[in-house]
Amino acid sequence: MILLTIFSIPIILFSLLAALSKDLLRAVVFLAVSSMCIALAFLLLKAPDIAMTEASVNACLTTLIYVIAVRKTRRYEE
Amino acid sequence: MMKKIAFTLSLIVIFTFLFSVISSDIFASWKNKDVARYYLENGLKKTGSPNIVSSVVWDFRAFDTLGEETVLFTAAVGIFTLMIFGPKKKKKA
Amino acid sequence: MDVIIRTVSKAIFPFILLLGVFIIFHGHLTPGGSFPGAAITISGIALIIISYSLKKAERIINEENAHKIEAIVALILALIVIYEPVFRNYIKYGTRLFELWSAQQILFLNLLGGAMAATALLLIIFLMVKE
Repeated sequence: MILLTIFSIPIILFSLLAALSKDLLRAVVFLAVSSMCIALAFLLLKAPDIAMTEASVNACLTTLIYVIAVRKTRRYEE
Repeated sequence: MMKKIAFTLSLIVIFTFLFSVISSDIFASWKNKDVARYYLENGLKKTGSPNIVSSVVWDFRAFDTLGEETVLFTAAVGIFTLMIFGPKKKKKA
Repeated sequence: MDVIIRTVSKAIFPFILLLGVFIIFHGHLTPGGSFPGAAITISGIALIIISYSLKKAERIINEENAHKIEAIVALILALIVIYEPVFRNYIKYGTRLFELWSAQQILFLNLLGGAMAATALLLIIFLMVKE
């Protein structure tokens, strides 16, 4: 219970930092860290299936597709 | 800049408060959960697999999984269509 | 890319494939199923695409074969799930517990769903890289 509240603070923090940054590659890395913290929260709530799916899909494949998409357009916003 | 941070923080606080108030009564009791209790008690007997998530996904609710596979197939076909009909070239006048 | 990245990715690639296929096959015994297993095997192939070029990954799986496999597996899966009372006697086999060849139709459907999800993700990554 205590561990769950400790590991739910980086979720909000890194999502806020990802939404407010001007460098798009930095935002993608913050999204990956936030997805890994959510996968750990799923594990602490006793749901191993969803933790495995979230970690392998959202922290691995979505980050790859975002990096390829940022590379083909601009890197800095505005 | 400060307005954006204040707005998002206030939204987060309000929604966490609402979620904690609602979830303290609904998620903790077995009063209205007849379907979930049926899946938990008869999952192993009717399908023969100790993984109840797999038995719910592929045996009790197989149509929803078919719908998810349709979404994956549509995404792949959609990207393929966008790559064939690419962006229009500008005419040199 | 660098020499260290190329050597390590070539050495670790079969173990990633083995882990992904293991998670798909044992979907009725351990947590997992078709979707995480497919994501893990496609992550292994994406590692080869990043460290080497796209042509070296095309030697493993061709793109035209992936299109054909996806279409055939989608047709078979739709037919089996919709017309289930017809196939009930041929697919549901045996009533043992806690073994690999058990759990009437979940093993079969996990393989089909894993193949479908894997080929769809593979096509998405190929088309994004190829531009």
